[in-house]
Amino acid sequence: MISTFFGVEIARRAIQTATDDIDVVGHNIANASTTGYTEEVAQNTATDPYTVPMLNNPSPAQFGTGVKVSQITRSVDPWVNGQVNTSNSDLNYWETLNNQLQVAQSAFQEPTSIGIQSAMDNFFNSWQTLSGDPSNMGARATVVSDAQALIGDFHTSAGLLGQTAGNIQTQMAADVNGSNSVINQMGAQIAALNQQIASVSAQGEQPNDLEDKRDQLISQLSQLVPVTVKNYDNGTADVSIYGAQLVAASSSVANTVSLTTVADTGSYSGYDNVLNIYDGTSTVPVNLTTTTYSTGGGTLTGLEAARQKTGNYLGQLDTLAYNLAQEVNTQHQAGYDYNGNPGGLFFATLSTTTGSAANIALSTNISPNANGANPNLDAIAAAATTSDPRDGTNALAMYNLQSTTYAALNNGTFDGWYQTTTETVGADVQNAAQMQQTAQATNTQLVNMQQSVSGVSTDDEMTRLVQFQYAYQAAAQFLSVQGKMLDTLINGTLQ
Amino acid sequence: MRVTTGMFYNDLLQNIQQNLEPMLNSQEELSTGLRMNKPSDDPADLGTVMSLSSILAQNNSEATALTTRQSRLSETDSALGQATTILNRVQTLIEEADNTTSNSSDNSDIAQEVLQLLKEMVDTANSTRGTGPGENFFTFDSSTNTVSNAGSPTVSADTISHDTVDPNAIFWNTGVVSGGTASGAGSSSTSTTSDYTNPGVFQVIQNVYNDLSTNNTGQFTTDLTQVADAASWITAQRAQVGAVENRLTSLQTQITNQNQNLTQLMASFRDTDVESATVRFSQEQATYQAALATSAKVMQISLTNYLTV
Repeated sequence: MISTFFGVEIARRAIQTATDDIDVVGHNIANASTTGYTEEVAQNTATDPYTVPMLNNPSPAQFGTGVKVSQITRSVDPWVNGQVNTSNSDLNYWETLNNQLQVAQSAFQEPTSIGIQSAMDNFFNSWQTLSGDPSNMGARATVVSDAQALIGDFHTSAGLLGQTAGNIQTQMAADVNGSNSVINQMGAQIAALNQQIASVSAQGEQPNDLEDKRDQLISQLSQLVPVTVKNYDNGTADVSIYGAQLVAASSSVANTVSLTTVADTGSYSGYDNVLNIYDGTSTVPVNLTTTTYSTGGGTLTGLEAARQKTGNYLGQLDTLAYNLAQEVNTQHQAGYDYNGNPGGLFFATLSTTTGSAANIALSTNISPNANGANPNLDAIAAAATTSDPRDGTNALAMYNLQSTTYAALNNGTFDGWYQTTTETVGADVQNAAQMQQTAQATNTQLVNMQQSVSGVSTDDEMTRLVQFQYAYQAAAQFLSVQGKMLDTLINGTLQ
Repeated sequence: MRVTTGMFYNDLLQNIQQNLEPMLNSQEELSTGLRMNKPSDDPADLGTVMSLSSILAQNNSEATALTTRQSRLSETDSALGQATTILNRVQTLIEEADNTTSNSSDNSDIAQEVLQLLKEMVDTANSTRGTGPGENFFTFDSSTNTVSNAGSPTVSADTISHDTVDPNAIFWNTGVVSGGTASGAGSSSTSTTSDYTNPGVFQVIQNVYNDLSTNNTGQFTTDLTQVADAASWITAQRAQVGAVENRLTSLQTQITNQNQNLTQLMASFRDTDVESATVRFSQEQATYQAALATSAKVMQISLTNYLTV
């Protein structure tokens, strides 16, 4: 026997479900522009049927009992999310490298008339002018001022490159070191969210928005470092960076990372950067300098690559400055100055190649004052003979240095070495820019794919809104009919 | 593929960025007039452009050096001209003295003028462009840095005898041209006309002075020959200077032509091809406008416009 109020209960459930459906639609519309939000769908299912036993029939009749929202699911494809994360790492790697190399590139003001190349040309050409007029103090002063301009250009470029490399290192350390660093904070938040997700799931609920938040954090992390994720059925996830575990799904605390430097293992970059992932008992080291990544590696890896490249460019300038100073000094010492004395040093002696571009300076022989004022013009050795200040043979030999090739510069000239360096810089920047474009295109496609699965379409939602509104109206109408029936029964039969 | 609202906006942002970037590049190209503004603009051609600009700078420097040498040569030229004028005047004076009507008192007057010319000759030989060593055109005496006794030449033969214009030194400071490039100057001269074995030019004039003051008429003819020899020797040196000047001028023309070619070549690598850049810029503009227009249209479309809930 079915209860009198059976229909009223069905009407109540229908109204409740329609309201819930509309609320989910509202939540979707409200979050249509929320980053990392995943579209949610209310799953309506029929409630368990009511079985009425019947005497004249062996099988009992089953009555439907209405509807309920069994669960609210999120439209997500973990595989697509993983692809997007990898693509994020790739894009951010090239974007960072491109940006940093653009900065480094500004140290090479070519092809213009204000770069190191034209300063070198001017410097050597001033020796030619001097060779034609060795007793002309103006020509001697030009040699010194052109040398000072060249030194200034070397200092500016070396300063910019050194500063860029230094800034990069500071940025890397800030991203990694300390409990407040981005990576450590994200790791801690992901671990905390994992715990909340696990406890909500344990109660049979769907922690949709918590998972969104966690996935969003992973996505942000993937912009910084290469990330791999392993998802579990209860919604929690293992997160690894550089192939080493950062967050274990079951743990409430994340591993911590720190950055240390070790001795340079190869190329000219000063030192190697090592990322240490510490799980409380042991440390997994990842050498960022020597490890290569086939598909990007996020901002952190991009910074490391930029640091190495910037260091290399600086090394090339150092080699140039060192050899230039040495060759000029050797030639200068082979000549005789205006007073017939053997030529002294022109540039101050540079002890090592490293740091030469930043430290190249005139010798105290030429420039006795630290600020370069009142240079000793007589000390310029333009002559090849001791007896004749009108002789410009040594100045001419100095001019010819620029067309001489040197074994230390890969059998190239000073100009050639600098050109090769500049070409390398240009090619690196061009490559990084092109790779960024490619990565951007891939990323756009994958994000669109992700959006296609997980994004909110307001048109969809409006359609559903209309659907559920009518469902609500129909249910209300049904309740009204039930009410009228009861009215007939209760008020119409008992007079 | 399911299309969601966010995709439109993502795509729009991407497309606007993607269209703006080439527009910025084209605008930079057009506004600077240069196709290559930084190394990454064209790393492949960068080396060529840098080499060319280096060669151009060297050529310009050589052209400047040539101008300096030319000005020195022309100064030398005019000093030699001055010397010729002096010798011509001495010649005229001897001829005047040799005239039968001249007497010893006339000749001693003439001798005074010759003495002045001797001083003038020493001054000319000491011509300098300034004070200090290495500024004088002709002989160079390393001990005194000048032609000695320049200020007060005396009639005593031994004091001026070593002041003779040294045939091997006449091109001091004038520059030497060899192998098609202007090389260092001042190192040496290549004068080969060193046949001038007569007494030095100062000695010659001094002899004239001595003979005039003592009215030694018998020597006048010899003096005349010696003065003429000296004058023709100096003229010969002048001709050499002129020849070098010509060579420098032609070298300068060569460099100017070369620079013109190199500048054109560099421009073809480095400068903007204005026509194609302009066309490209309009194309990019059109694409950008299309992106904006379609996006603006699509953004307006929504189901909400058609619903009255």
